[in-house]
Amino acid sequence: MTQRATIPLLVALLVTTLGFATLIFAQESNAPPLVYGAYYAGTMVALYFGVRLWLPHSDALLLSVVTLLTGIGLVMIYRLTFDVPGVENLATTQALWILIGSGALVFTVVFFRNYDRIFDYKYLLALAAVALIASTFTPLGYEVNGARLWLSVGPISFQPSEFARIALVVFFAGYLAEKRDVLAATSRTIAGVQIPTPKYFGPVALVWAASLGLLVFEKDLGSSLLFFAVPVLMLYAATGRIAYVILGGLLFSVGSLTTYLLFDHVKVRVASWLDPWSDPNGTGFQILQSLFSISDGGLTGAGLGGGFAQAIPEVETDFIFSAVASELGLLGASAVLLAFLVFVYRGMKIALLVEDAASKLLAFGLTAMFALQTLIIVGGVTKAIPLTGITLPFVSYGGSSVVGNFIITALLLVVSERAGKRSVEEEEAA
Amino acid sequence: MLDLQVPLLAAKALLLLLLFAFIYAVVRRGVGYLRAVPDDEPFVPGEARRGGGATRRAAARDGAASSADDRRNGAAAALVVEDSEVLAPNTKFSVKGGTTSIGRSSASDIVLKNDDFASGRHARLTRHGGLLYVEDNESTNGTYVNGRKTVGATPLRSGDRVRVGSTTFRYSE
Repeated sequence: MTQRATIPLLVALLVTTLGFATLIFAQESNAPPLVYGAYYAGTMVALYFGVRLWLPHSDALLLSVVTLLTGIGLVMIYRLTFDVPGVENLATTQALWILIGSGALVFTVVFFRNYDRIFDYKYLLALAAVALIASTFTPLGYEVNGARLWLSVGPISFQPSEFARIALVVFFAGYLAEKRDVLAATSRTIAGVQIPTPKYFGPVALVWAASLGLLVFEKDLGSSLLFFAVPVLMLYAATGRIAYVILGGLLFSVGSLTTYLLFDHVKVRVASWLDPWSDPNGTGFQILQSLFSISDGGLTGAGLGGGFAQAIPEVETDFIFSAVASELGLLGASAVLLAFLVFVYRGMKIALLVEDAASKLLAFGLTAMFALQTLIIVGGVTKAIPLTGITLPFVSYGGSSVVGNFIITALLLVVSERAGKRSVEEEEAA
Repeated sequence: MLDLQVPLLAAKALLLLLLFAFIYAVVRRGVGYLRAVPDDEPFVPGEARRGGGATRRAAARDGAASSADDRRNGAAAALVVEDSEVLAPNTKFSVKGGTTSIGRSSASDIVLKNDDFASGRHARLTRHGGLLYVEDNESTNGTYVNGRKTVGATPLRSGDRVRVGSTTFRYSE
């Protein structure tokens, strides 16, 4: 598991530097405060060497992928917003969030190095997660673009669901590791499908339904999709029973149909996915602009600063992938997707190599969530599936998302440290 | 304007090149060395004594195995009693090449005398391709590795817990 990744890290920083240099040159824009660039590079390098020092057996390759993704994110956010009045400082804000995220990563690594005890608090974590999601219904919560996802506490506003999902994965990992045998060994069947015992399945179903129900009423479709799919996948990974996947698929069909019939905003999303031309200046505008931008990019892209992706509403958050595809082309966008793939591959490998069931499920759950999130938003902006607003991990602008993803990386790092330590001990013993 | 086009084009190409250099670097480092189980020789349970390459067979026949072969044959491999109703804790059974049998029968290599939960010929250990496999001998209560019931021959890794009857062994290499 031990993995050095100094060269990829340097290449990733070089990509970011070249990106900013091109932008300053091409747009004749004012240079962004370069001190932020230095902060960013310094943070990532310090983080890398810190992790190599504290967790010598961990998978530092994850960090160089994170560096590349956040770097590309910063370049794209700067390019899309530096001349837009009102949001011209978005890139520096994002750099600040990356700094805070790195702090969260260090905090997690230092305090949860021996993370077994977090599984002791799994019920508390599940409760906290549901409470976090529900908290946006309190007067502290507020709506942005029709979805009530935000919480404002004093000067800070954040999206609690970004953190709740990590707590939920920890809960499911701890609970399923403990109960997987009783969940897998079941004798009662309904119509040939084996049904788990309610006593043991109850807590899973309860937490799952509570978080999902709340999110649906908050109109957060992307997160709902994630919160739905990740527990199903974890159940399958824990028990190896295909029945859970079939059951999940059935529930998904029924749930999607119900939400489609109940909520107008779902109908709008589906309609603009099926036929964006029915209302090209209204509901179909965003997805059409996204498709125009992607197609304008062609094979090698319009070059940084050459595209017209600013025309897409919400381009710096949900639609940042269209901007990447527009300016770096099919090749650049594929490279970004490959970077995501490497991250997911390493995550799955950590899950395979670590010994105990709870760590396996934790690594699997976090990785599955990361992979699905990428799939949902990239599929959404390319009109492969109906668009559900969700961030592209590490690349999109968004404080909560960046910090949350850094915490996910931190957890994967501590799990990989354990896996790496074990294989080293084995080699020494052999 | 023209003099600006050329460096911009170069920068664009360089950026894409760097992106793929990154992907190449991470993929080269990060992909493809999942734990390698030797797959050059198909494993046939119970045939470990005869199995293996010609050189190893010759070495074993001559009784003059080199140190490398020693390690491959697991000279240092041992089962250590962790918890048992019939054996003293920390009793060490070294596992040699060939087949090692575990059971209540006194003909076994590792005898679990008077263990009501063990069958006469409960399980056997065979070495193949540098790995030690444990295989249940159709015993009444089964053989467990790390708490999971084994099905067929199961490879052991250092630190694994093997439970036969009431006895739990720790495998160390």
